Amino acid sequence: MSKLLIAQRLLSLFTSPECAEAMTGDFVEARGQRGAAWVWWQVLSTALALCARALTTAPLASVGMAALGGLQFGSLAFAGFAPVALFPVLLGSKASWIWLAVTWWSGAFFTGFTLVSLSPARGAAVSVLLALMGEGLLIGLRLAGLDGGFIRIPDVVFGLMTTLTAMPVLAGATIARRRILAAHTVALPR
Amino acid sequence: MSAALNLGEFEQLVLLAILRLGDGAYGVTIRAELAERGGRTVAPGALYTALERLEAKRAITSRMGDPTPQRGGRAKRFVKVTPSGLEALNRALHAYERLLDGLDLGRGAHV
Repeated sequence: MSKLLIAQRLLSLFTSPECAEAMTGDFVEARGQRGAAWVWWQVLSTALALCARALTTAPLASVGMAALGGLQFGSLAFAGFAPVALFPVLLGSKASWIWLAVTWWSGAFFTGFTLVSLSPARGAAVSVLLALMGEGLLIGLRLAGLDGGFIRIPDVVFGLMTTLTAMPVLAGATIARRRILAAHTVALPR
Repeated sequence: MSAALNLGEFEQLVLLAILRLGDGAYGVTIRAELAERGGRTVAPGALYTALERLEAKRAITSRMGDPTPQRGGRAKRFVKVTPSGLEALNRALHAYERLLDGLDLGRGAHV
């Protein structure tokens, strides 16, 4: 897959496929004068601008969806944590690391997938918002002293497990959006 | 009765650039027109979100052109001002004129 096709797919998370194609074409036209770094900077800033627009056009709906996504992920993450906490013999074992990682990451994946399935126009933007909020919360909790000690997981492993949880949210949103675009021949609502 | 369409300052500039460009108005040319005549460098992200807003307000319509090799086989998205967009732009410009009437801004043109 060419790098610009990746850029086009990134933009199509937040706008219709036709608009994403035209925007990428505009960047290709400008690439000769500006260079690849400028193009990627503009692709990322355009994606962020479109994402922010999707969130702010209906702020209450966006907040509601973010709350729903947070609730869904929180429930799935807790469902993964509960068995480990209930059986102290599991605490600190490699099986508990793997179990927690699988449940948290799959919970994050299905959260992104669900949000886009519920709202194709806004779900991807809400997923990005949730991922950013989650990372912000993790930084805050680490500054407050929370680490893997309470479940006897090394800090580095716990840090990786939690930090990487943002990726499956975005992966779930991307796959759901791709499936929806593939299933519809008409442009998605913007 | 539908509510009157309100346009922000940047949206007015974008509509004026589209009107100036006629049938050749798309992302690259609109940015160039804004830079050349409007004297401001516009980030593509700002322009594309403004175009999406204007289309949602039904101030512009868009159509896809043919794919061209210069753009990696991608089509241009041409935009055009709708009658309601033109009406909203005229209303905004008349409001400026009425507010400027009798004011001396140091240019002397409206005194």
